[in-house]
Amino acid sequence: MVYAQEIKEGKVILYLDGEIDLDKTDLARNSILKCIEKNNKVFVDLAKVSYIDSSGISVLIEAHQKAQKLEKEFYLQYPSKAVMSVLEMAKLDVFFNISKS
Amino acid sequence: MNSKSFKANPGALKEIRNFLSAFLIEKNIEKSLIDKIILAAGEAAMNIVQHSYNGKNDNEIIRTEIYLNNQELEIHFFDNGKPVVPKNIKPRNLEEIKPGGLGTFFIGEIMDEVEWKSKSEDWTNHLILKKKLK
Repeated sequence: MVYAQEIKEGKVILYLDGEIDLDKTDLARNSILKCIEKNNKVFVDLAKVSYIDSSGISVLIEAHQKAQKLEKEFYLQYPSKAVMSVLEMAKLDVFFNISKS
Repeated sequence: MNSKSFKANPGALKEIRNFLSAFLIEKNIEKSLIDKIILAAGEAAMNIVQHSYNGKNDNEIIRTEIYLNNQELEIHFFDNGKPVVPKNIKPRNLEEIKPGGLGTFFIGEIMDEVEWKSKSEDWTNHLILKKKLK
């Protein structure tokens, strides 16, 4: 299984979907980190993520920190209600660059 | 009460969540509350797979039970992995942003009470998550 990617207006969008739990974190981590290594501006679209737990949130934190280290731009895009609620509970909604429109 | 046993591997986590979710839906609990309870229970189940059973153990099981009596919800998890030392389980400081350690925080935020029972004849660990629904 691979997550869909799209190159649009100078940025790469990686579309995560479904439930991001311990069973999917390796796939999500590898996909996002590879994207960050190869591109300067990465958006991770979370509109179709119906569930995310702490293991999925850890992947997003790791990706954000890796992007900072490599001086790349990293954004979360259109987080679903389920994702936003978990980010807010962990007070991470202000940590990430979140694109909602 | 509903109960079911699952294989102790990451692929079973979704099945555990679906099993618990079906019970809560049947009891007409509000969706936003179900989502939170499922997050907390999912974190607890993940801890068992990841820490008690070291990531994957298809030969072992996680027994799950869910009860609702007088609006008091209890979710029980039983496993035969490494013994849990409750005093060693602490949520991480939210100010310190790093990967890992959020699961215990979510459980504590969402549930009213977390209890580990003493080792029994059949199980090494018995975790109970409790929440009053009204």
